[in-house]
Amino acid sequence: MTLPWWNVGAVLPALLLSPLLLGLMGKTKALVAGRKGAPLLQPYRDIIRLMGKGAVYSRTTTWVFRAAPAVSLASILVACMMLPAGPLDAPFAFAGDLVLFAYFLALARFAVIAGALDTGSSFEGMGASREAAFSAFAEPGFFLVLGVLALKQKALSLGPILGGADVITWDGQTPPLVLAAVALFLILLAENSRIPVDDPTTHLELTMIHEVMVLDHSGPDFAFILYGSALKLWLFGAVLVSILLPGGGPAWASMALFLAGMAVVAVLVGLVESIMARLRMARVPQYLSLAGVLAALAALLLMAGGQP
Amino acid sequence: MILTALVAVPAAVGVLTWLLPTRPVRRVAFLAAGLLQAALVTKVFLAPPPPEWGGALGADALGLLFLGIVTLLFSLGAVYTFGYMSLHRHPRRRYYVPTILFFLSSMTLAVLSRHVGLFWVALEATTLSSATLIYFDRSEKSLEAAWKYLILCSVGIALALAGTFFIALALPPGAEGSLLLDSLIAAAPGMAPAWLKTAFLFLLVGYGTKMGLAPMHTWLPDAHAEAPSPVSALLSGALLNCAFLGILRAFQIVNAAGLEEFARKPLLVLGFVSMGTAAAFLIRQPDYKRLLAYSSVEHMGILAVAMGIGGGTAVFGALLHALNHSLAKALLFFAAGAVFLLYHTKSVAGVTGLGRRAPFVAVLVVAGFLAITGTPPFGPFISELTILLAAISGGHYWVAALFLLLLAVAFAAMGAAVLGMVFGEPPELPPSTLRGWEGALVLAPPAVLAVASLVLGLYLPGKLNALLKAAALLLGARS
Amino acid sequence: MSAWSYTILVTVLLLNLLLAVTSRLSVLIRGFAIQAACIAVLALLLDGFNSPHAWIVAGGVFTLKVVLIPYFLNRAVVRTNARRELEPLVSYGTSLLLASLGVLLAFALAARLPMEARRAGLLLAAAAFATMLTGLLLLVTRSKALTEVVGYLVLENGIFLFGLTLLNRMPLMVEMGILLDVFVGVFVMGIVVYNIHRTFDHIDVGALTSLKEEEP
Repeated sequence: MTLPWWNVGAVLPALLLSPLLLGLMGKTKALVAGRKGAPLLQPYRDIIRLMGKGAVYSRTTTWVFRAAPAVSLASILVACMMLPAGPLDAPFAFAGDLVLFAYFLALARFAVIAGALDTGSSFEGMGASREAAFSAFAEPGFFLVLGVLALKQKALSLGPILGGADVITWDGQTPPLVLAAVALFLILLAENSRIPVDDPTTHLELTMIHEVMVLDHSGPDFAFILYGSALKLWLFGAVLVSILLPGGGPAWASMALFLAGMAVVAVLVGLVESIMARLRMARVPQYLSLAGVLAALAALLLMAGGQP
Repeated sequence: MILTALVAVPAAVGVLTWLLPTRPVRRVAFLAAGLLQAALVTKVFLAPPPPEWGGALGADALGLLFLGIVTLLFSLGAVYTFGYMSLHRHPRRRYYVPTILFFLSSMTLAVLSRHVGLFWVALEATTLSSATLIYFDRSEKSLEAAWKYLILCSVGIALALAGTFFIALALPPGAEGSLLLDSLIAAAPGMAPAWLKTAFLFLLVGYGTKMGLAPMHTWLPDAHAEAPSPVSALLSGALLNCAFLGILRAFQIVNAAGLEEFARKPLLVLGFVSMGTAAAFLIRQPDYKRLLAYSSVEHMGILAVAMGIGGGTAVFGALLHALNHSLAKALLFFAAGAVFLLYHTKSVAGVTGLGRRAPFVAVLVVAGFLAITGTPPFGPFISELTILLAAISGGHYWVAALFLLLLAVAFAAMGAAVLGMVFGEPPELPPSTLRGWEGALVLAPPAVLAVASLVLGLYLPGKLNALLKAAALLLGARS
Repeated sequence: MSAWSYTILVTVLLLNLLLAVTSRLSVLIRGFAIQAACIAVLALLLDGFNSPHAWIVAGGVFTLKVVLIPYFLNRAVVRTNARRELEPLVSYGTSLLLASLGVLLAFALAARLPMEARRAGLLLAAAAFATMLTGLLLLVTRSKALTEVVGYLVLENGIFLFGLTLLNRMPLMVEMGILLDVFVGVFVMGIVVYNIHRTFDHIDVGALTSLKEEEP
């Protein structure tokens, strides 16, 4: 295990810019719908405002409910530490860390689900069961995508797979990488509770998945949850952008390219949210297995030796 | 030229009859085409012509054998149709004569082609032309039968196409890229065994579907039972043999590559599955045309089993049995058509007292029954005995025992049905319409076939024997 | 093999998945047509753009499978008013799973067969097998007559992919004969489909069950 302390700087873009992704997404949706929309920095304001408030706890809840937001955010932060940002190496890397990365994301989700179940509310229980079921469908696809990247880069650590000097190139492996990227985008939408899997703006608890789970959190707890989901979106976006971007060039250029890529992802998600409708719940497993199948096909193509 | 003519003349007459205005003229042209074909084929038999179209068309011993079967059945069928259609009350079908002539043309092309791709095209053409013949009645049942036939046989034939491609892929890289049978056989020893084995399996399943081997046989009882009787006779007696020829051609190539042991096992398995399935469905079968159709499945199983046993005697027996089955089965379908004209039903239970109502038809039915179940002194007895002896002398005792058991079941099942039809009191029906020249035309072809089957049971002509031996030699029979 | 042929083969594989999951007949027909167009382009890519033989084959495939057959199939859809396959024998999720397993099986099969690099490469054989398996899947699990016809056509597409590897070995006549047979086959099937519709007032083959063994 290596921990070059100066590389902690690689986490800074994620920490500072991730709420901006949410703002960008909201702005895109508003513009497509012909509205003016909230300002770009609105998510920052929300988080700061929530941090200043006090939390309200129901008498039926236990320590699980209080610990959930903190555990969730902490897990996501650790996951962030394993991810390189553009030309910057990850502060924290070892062979096989991509499995740990996926499991920290799962731990974050587990914490939120456990907190939701702890309230004893039937709505939150329903949301928790949906979240658990759909993430179980998304997991194989996500691992397959990571597997495809590992296979392509012949490495088992996120650092060399995604970033640093050894970025992914398009040397005749275009089709499998495109398939993996599409699969990852589908998973990104599902994991971040976006349309077509979940509608973050819906007002009907019955149709919610993620939002209904966090209804009872308030104050700093809710700020943690909000910030956590922004970071999670950043994480998935960063993996996707690293697949698609060409490497090389000076560090400042690839950093700029990376940040631009993240902005494009946010706009893209906003566009998808604007033009698509939410799928029926029963169709979600099908949607997620499609992502899994695409990722599996990509892995198969790479294993078959790619283009001769 | 004469081989080309054999394929082209029926097709040309087909186009001509499409243009001809009236029914009697069409029917005479049809009869003339049948007889002309018979004459041309006789000429081919007397003096085997050289290959044509760069070797793509040719008459080797195997092709000649099956050409003889196809032409004999078609000519007799043309005579039969002339009488049958005059007696049978049915709406006009302008397409009947042209289609059946195209059907003849494509079957002739199949038996004469010595190019695996051309053979495939010809066999697909037989499917397409005969599907409309099965839909002759335009009833719901015949539509269903035609649909099943079309979709299943097309899928089968598609798999056979894949098999044909695999044969070409098996060719070594430097080899001459020709799909002519002769060059394939010459190149066989250098072929990639993995591709060749895959190719044989695809061809076996593909052509086996068309041949009616179980479990791909499900279309066969429907199609053969719903088609008009003369068409059923052609489908059962001639077309199934054409598909069998496809498997034999594949066997020739596999044999030349020294993989005949590999090819035998699936043939044996499919053969026994077919015999067993047919035996199960023959028992208490309520429809006599379906009875005959399942009997065809059984006999195709016998052919596959014989090829699966292998060795000179068994292959000789298989070829002889193909001929014998065609004669007996066509005889039975022709007789079944006569029974249908007399009783207007296809139900076994609805036919009683055939012996009293029409003694001559009853004699034909009984003769056909004895022949098809392998009872002496008819031809199939000799060929089934040959196959059995080959199994025993090859040391395949279990094969021989199972073979005998399934034959016995088929005999008992068909016997029960035939006895019930021939004996007893005839129901109250209007007097027989099988009279006059039309009746004679309906009854003469089955009578000819009954005599032929009987002759083959008592004496094998020297020329036929030589032809069968030469054909068996092509299939790698050394003894 | 060029990057273009590689991409096209992957597209063919993806179209198989689409064909396996769609319930809309128009999507099914369009998917088949695009797949056929891929094959036509592939014929040119594999055999060279200056080979007249390849142009004839590609032209034939394009005319029949991309233009004429989809046109007739779409007409049949309109005439029989059968736009969706509502009752497949297995659910569409299972179909997707089976099709994916088919792709896996296709790669396994292709890896076992010797295939020279010049002729094809592993991916061509795998795509061909996968397409054949998808066609068989459609034939076995769908009950609408039209869907079965498309299944048959997809099966033929897969076989034709194998045929592409033999382009410079086979006489042109056979290939044209094959194309023609497919066309005539679909034409005849179309007539039958139309008649099934007229006779039974539906084209659900699953309901064609009057011909079966009855208890005596």
